[in-house]
Amino acid sequence: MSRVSDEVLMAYADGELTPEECQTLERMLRHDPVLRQRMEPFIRTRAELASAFGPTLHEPVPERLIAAIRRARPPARASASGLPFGGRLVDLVRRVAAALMPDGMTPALAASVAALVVAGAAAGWMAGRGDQPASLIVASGSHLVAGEALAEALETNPSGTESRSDRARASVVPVLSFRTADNTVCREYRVRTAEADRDFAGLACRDAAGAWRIAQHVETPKQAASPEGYQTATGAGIASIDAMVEAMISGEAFGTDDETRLLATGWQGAR
Amino acid sequence: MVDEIQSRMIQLLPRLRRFALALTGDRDKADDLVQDTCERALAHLDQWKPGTSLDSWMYRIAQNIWVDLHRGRRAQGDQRQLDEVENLVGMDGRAVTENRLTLAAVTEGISRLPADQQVLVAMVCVEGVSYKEAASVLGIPIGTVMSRLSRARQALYAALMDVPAAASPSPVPVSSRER
Repeated sequence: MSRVSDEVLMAYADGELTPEECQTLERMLRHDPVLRQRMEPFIRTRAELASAFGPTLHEPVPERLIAAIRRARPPARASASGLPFGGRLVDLVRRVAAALMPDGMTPALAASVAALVVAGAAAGWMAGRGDQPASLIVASGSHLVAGEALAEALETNPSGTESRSDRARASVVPVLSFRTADNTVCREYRVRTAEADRDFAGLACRDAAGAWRIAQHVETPKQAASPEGYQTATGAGIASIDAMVEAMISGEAFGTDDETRLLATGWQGAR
Repeated sequence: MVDEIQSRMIQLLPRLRRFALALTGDRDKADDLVQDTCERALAHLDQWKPGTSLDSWMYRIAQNIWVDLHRGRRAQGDQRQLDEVENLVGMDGRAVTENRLTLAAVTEGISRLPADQQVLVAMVCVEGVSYKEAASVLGIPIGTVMSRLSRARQALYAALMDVPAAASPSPVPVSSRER
């Protein structure tokens, strides 16, 4: 009497066994009516369910479901209510979102980006009052753009090359460059600050005038002092940047050669 | 882009509806479940890891909603009105043609299972999801998937064969197994 488990019989009915396992089992089934009987529930349930529900797949989908997906507005990745300025930030998020809109983003994406910009700004940039270091991010009209130190690093540093700014009391290193579908160049960066107990990571895109508009700027846990620390950064903030890069990137990130060429031409070749 | 994810969700709707119908056994309830699933997914888009399967993620959300709904309840079968079931199956129990069970009879059988078993049956038998993917969707070991699913299938089989019109199970030749 064979000791074939129910699970193996079921796996056979579901096509989950390897061809060799199938052959072995089929040999046993041929000579074992009890085994065949034990197999029956698995074959039968699969067949009945597949045939009973199969036609459902070809029914028209109710309009209300499509509408529910279309009208949905994914919320900000960072919750406005969790921020120090509470609900007042929502207005700011909207304004920043509106400012980001011309860059070809959907309102929903722009809003989620804006929330992060504001979150990062609230945490890092707006705190920079008094005798604080020069701002990494500054307001330009209705946009947030990279301040001097950040802009210089984004404009001139190859990915992986860190530059230190005494005025900003921070070190900036671009980590990735890519182009979007509409040929805008964007760079992901990391910032290590000298004094604060937090570091930053972000994503900036170069506009036609050569300013680096901040698409995301988030706090990250303090990183190790070694250059490798940049690569090992993790956390929710980094994940949201990864997701954003994923959403915006067109093709592959620039390789070293492409990036070198673009740096040499002041990013002009990107268009 | 978010637009693209929304388009992909819309493309997924037929499969999600079929999955939800297998769980709920009712078209309106199925569509409610699908709508809840989509809304929850879009509200938590940041939790979806780009590059991973959107299908799996949506199944996971749908089954979470379903299992949460039935937490602490063994199964919903006994809560269903008996006369309703009779109407579905047909008063004389002959609403079956060509030895295939009706949708109503099958969903009645599924409704008698605990929610965690319903989810597996719907995923594997209706949606054709592999054991491995099911394990990943549910966050349980593949061995648990198999033992839970085999118990569910045996119970379901017993329930289905209990339906008068189910007819006598014909011997199943090995060569005609469903893939």
